[in-house]
Amino acid sequence: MAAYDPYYSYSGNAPDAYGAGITFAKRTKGVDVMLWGNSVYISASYSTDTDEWEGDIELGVDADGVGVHQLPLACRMIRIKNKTAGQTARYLITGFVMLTDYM
Amino acid sequence: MLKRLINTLGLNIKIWLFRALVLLPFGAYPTTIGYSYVFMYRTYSGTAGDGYTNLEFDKKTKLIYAWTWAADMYIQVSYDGTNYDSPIEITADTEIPIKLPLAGLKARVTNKVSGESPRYQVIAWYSISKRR
Repeated sequence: MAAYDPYYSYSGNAPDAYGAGITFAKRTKGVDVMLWGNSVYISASYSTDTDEWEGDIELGVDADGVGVHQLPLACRMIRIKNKTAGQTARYLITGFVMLTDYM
Repeated sequence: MLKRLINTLGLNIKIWLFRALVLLPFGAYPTTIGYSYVFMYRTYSGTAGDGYTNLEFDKKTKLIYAWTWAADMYIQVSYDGTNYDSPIEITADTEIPIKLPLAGLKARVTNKVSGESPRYQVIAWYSISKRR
């Protein structure tokens, strides 16, 4: 993805335990989380210091197994894991940044 | 005519100065991507019961996301730490955003039906200008 793109998307299957996390190129001005299948926990970091994670947010899915969550979140990193081990969620995380951040 | 053209094109320096000096320090961004404000957050979660469960916010918050699962729930917000606004009912298995007219200091949750135990999650969003 080009460095000047105003958003960054990451997708995959959530692990059962938190991994290293996703690092956005710039601090986000909003994060969308799409889920399929199962619920997850996410947490965010306001810097690239991986020792400082904010508390878990549980994000669920509806009866059809789909979750759409728009968070007005300003962060540099985000991490995700399955709410219940073994019940894997497929996710798409999009972090929006501002074009003016690159000017 | 020229003034209208300048405003239409977004070239009014007063508007940009207002955005830079007034809005930005309070977390507001002139963005077109749907997020007018950006925040950091604190999470409060647990199970509500027959009595009120108090949630004391670490930071003053202007926006709350509240979830409840398994049963209906009421949430009330306090702006002075003593008096609470009218209860807002949240239906089971739903999420609602609550925009606060003032900075919220506390909230409290309780079940709607006595004996039921709704699980709740409350995200208190606070401005990036009030970071730790």
